[in-house]
Amino acid sequence: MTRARPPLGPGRLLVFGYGLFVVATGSRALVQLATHPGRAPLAYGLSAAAAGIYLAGLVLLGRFERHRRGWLTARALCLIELAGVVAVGSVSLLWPSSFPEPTVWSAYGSGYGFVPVVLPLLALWWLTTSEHRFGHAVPQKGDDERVERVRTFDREPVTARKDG
Amino acid sequence: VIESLAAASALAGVGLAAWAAVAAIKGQFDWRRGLILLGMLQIALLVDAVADVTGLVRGHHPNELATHLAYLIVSLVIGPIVASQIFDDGGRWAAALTAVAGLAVAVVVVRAQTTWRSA
Repeated sequence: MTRARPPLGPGRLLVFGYGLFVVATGSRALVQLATHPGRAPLAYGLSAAAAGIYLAGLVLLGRFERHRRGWLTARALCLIELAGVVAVGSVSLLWPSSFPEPTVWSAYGSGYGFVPVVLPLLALWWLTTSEHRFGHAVPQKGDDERVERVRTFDREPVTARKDG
Repeated sequence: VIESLAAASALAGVGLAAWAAVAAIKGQFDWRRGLILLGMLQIALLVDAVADVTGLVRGHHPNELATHLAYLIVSLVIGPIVASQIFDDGGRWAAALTAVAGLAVAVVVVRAQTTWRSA
């Protein structure tokens, strides 16, 4: 058996991270809103909103990773996500009484090892440095080498493409 | 949940993450070894899940049942998803994905243990 696709890149890692957070924050918000919604509606609502943003991030980054489409939308979403983490994190530290129970983004996501604040930063870095950022390839140093590597993984003779 | 097996699984997840992180840094990832290690971890997780469900059927009431079940399911799906991604890929990012998966399994198993305890 041979691998019919190019090697993994940072994008797949980010998509995996967003997938984990969709499940983690989504199930948390679902359980909280289903069992005791009145205890901290604002905190639970924010956790649900965070889960929605992670789901949108999963879809948009996954789409960009596979098809190199939707760069602007994905970038806008990551900026919104980062703004949300910073805003909620700051409010939770400056006015702790605002949230009787912690949200996913409280204290910049300390309950999740600060991954919530790191994830959008990594996604923005990846989107910004991506060679396909405007939906078409921007030639970069080492492109020829990368194309060659992908061809090798496809197990397709390089000469066949050049001739055909 | 078998407490000792869950603890061993969490430690194995951390060990897998450390090994894969070193491979990612060196840029030398043996994906076959990665699959074997993931498979061994998966077997431990499956045994633990069977013990978990048996305990539930026998009347154990976890602290937070819904959350506990979510953690249990997530702990079981991470391995197969990552295995399908790293197959035949000896690259740095496949190693990084394995490292993240190992850490994620460790965290999820510990959370599942916490939510398993009775109220």
